[in-house]
Amino acid sequence: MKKNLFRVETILVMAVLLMLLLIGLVNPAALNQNTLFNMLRSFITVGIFGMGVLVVLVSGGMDVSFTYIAPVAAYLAVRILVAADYSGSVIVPFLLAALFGAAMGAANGLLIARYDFPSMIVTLGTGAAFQGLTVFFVGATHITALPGGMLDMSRTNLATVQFADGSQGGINITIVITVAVIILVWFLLNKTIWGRGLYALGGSKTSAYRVGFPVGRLQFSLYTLVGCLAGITGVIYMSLNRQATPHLMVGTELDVIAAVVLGGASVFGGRGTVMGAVLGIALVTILNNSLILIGIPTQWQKAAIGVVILTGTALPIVLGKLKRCLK
Amino acid sequence: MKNIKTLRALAGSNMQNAFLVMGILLVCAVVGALRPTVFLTWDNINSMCLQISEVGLLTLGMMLAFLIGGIDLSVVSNAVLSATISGSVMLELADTSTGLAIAAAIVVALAVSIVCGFVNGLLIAQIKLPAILATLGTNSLFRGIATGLTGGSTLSGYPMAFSLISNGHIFGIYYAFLIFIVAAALISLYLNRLRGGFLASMTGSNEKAAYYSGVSTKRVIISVHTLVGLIAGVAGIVMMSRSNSINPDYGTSYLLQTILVCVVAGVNINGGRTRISGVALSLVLMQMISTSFNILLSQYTGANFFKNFAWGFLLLLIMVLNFYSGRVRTRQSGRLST
Repeated sequence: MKKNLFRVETILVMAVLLMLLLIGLVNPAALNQNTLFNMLRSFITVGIFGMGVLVVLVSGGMDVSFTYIAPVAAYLAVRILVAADYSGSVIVPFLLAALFGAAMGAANGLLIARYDFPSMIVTLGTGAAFQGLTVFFVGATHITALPGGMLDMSRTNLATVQFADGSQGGINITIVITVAVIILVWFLLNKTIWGRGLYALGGSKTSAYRVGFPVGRLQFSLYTLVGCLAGITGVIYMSLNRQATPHLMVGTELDVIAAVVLGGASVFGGRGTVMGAVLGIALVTILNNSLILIGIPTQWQKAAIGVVILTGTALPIVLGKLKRCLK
Repeated sequence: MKNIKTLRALAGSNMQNAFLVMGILLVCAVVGALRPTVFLTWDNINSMCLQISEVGLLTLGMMLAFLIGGIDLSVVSNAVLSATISGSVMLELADTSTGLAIAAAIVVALAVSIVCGFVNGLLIAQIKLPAILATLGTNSLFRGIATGLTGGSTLSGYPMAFSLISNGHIFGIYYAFLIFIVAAALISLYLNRLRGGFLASMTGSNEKAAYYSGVSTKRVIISVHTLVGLIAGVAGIVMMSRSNSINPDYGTSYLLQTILVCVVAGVNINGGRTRISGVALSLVLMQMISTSFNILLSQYTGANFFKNFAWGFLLLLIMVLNFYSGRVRTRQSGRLST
């Protein structure tokens, strides 16, 4: 029991509940389905991004290129489909974007695995390079006439609720993809030798190599997977916002990383759970969407997030020290 | 035999600078030949210098953070926060006396940035947060405070005299550039001649070893981060005075740029090694690349983004070149020693 009390997940669950309670107390009217739907809507994309970040962090790496890969891959897919006058199923843009994303992720993986460069520096370079290359050669025309399937998807809700004032709200169908990705990453990390390998790699690269894990292949495959996930996120984001440019989402990478780290993943690798990451992302999403509801003006939101990140990351360390002192 | 070895070692240590100088000469030659009337003119060089000084100061701060084996993701936010606070103070005092307002603004900017840097240092050294996490948090916090105080809007309407800090010139050289040169010279002095700089590089190359040889690593980390803060404050004054205004969202793209410049310059991101000469050269190269793409590709809409590609590509290229030149060197030195 005592052991569980100090776990990051427990603290996060309490923080999330406390946050919801606070909103309920301060502004009961705000705690309705619409707020919840808004939170879920922003969770859809950040959730998938977060899973990618978690995989990278567990392996001891750092990826800052995923917010570049996502819009670029999705934008390329949209441009191709618009040029081909395509209006069929939504599967095709997803496949195309996943393919482009995977290719860009593979480039990251190749540089990191083959040359053993620091992953943060590599992804810093490739992110800028991919975006620059795309904008220059393909252009950055703002597209609002998305291929048919994507527009349909943005209108399809899993559950629709009619509110008292006549407006409608609902959970977009794409949340299914997020849930599927979360389950997939959970399965990969916990139930496969690949996932074990990632934890080993993150704990100590040399040891993982000596034990016999194919370190290079692991790194290559993991960055390819993360690129692929980023491509899918890009399509979802563009479809939800009904517009496409290669600049969307760029600049949010540190926020996503912060949320995952808040969930207990170590920036030095080897530690991190899917549950923790999901809770960390949930907490940041709730904060982002609800500070205004409990009376904190929007202009102070970023500062509040900063305080949460600092306390969230410092707390386990301080608690650990406290525990040692008590002993 | 010994001479050859020393020569090789020398070539090795300056390999990066050699690449950079070659790059600069190449850009000069190509763009100078293609657009002789625009590129190598005094006006263009001067405007490049003005742009270098702002990013350059921030890069010097980032370099010091790298030196002690850390990183400072909050360096740009720190500059923006100290600029916004000092800007508000200046606006308050502007009616009474221009001189007083400007002096107060400078003092406030430096004080705020020093406090911010000190907070970073405390979080890293005292609470033992990893530098990347601590500064990730303070990055959000500093920029958040700046946004909160201004409500996200731009502060402007400073006394005209304030803009002279960056835009005034002597012998045709902008003050901003001179400030950058002086800062670089002082930091170079600190690193090469002063005790603090030596202890900082000791701490960066091996913190444990430094600790056991009697260095108070905690104090070193706190003081270096405070120094990084101070530099960010100077950068804040320069960036605010360049346009005589400050927006809390200003300069978000600078952060990755400063890291990029450091890596291209050959600063060891794991700590212990800095290269002021490399930083200066790579700043010049980066600026030249971005300016020349803007000149050469001005008829295309995406010209501004092609420089992103060029920077990213340059970073990866230099890393790959270093990888192969390093391997050749170790192979050769191995052969020599047998």
